[in-house]
Amino acid sequence: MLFLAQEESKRLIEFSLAPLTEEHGIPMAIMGIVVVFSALVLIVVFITVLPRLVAPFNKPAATESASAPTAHDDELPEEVLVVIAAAVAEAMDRPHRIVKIRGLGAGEYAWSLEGRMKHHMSHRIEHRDRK
Amino acid sequence: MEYLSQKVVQLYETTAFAGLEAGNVVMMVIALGFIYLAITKRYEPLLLIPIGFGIIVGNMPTESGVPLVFAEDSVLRFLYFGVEKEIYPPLIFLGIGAMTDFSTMLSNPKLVLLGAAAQVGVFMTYLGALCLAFTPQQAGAIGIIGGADGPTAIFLASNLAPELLGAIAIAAYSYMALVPVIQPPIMRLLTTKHERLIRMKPSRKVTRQELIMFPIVAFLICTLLAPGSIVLMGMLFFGNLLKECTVTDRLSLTARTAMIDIVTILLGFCVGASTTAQYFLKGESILIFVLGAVSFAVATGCGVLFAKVMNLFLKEKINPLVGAAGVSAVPGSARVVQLVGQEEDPGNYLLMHAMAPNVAGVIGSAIAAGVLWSQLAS
Repeated sequence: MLFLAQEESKRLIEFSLAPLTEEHGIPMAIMGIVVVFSALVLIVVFITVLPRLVAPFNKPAATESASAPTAHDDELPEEVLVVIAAAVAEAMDRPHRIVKIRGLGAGEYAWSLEGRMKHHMSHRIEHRDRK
Repeated sequence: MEYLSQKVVQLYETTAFAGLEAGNVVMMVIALGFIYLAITKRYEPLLLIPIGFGIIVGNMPTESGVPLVFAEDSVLRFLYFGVEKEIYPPLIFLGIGAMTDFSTMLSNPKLVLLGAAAQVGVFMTYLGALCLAFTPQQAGAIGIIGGADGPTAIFLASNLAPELLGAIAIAAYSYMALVPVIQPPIMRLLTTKHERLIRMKPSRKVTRQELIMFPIVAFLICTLLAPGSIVLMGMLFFGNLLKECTVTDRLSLTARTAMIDIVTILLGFCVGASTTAQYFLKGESILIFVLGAVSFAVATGCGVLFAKVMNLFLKEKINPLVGAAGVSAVPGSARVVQLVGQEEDPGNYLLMHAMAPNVAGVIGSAIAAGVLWSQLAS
């Protein structure tokens, strides 16, 4: 404390409540607090309504994904039919006619079906008495 | 023999020892203390090391007797220009914006109010400083220490009270470094064990559209109400938009890494170098440190108490410890909330909840600075 100038040392004990009642005192502090709270309350309001504001931006994607399964259920898209026809032509390698294409139900998934077929074929019964 | 002693005196006069005063030595000891705390205790090393070494450089006597940052044609004078003309703080805010994730705040809007409550400490300290015969401008610059935001404190001090800049900057950064020491006792004092055990629900997922819209609209809200905060808020939210839009990754990466690092080095070093004994070792500096501590403590207390008041009206209670993160020492105070919460319940993870008032505190303190600047700048 050797370095403190004398007039500055006096300041350490200077205390007065008078400045509080002046224009830059309590009125300004209250105004400052009100402005900070107002700005952040407005931000709270904005954040609360924000999900609703951005909902229209999300809607097209949501509608598309929601409607897509419906289209598959009722009618397969043309691209899928073309792909299936091409796959069948490649596999058959002879003149053929596709009679019906339909989507599989829950119990008809290709992997399950294939597994079941393999299982049944491995237990084929041979009738010896016909020989 | 006489010739020899004359030469020795001449040699002594050419060295810096001749101009070295006791005050300079005291400042160097303080600087060594900062460097020690930064290295051994890891207290804000990114800030305290540049500031500490800057103090040592600034307190080395010069030929002209004028500190290097104030000497004409000195390189440090040019670097200090960024502090004096408030160039560095907005650039730091740009980097902070590019680093900040507002999603925790967007997922739990009510916690934003805790960031506002903590700013009460700023204005209470402003009134305290007025009572201690500081001018309104000086009082405003001192009060913002409670915002626990170094760049904001420097921004306001260089505007309103450049003569106190060194002391205010050192106080602000010291208290930011001492967050883990100052806050926990206040948090424990103002809460019960039962309150500290409250667990909060996980936050909801925030969409990309929300994250992009937020910085734009929040900037408009803040600056329409407090035009004084345009520069700080503008840079903060601009940096955040660079991050969230995901199409400017290079810019966002530069802002949050290389640029903020360079500016932090320059700001810390220049502030340290400006803290010479003749400007710092005054009665005013001691008062500023005391008022800064009060400001910080009041801000912490107000955040915690406001959380308790909110609990009176909320169905889903919030852990009042989270209120302490309303001071904008990011992420230091949020980390303290997590640690104090886990002392009672090791399975309670409050960190992400505390980040919401923490980032709201950054916005709140910048708005408070904007109000003080617009009302007090002559």
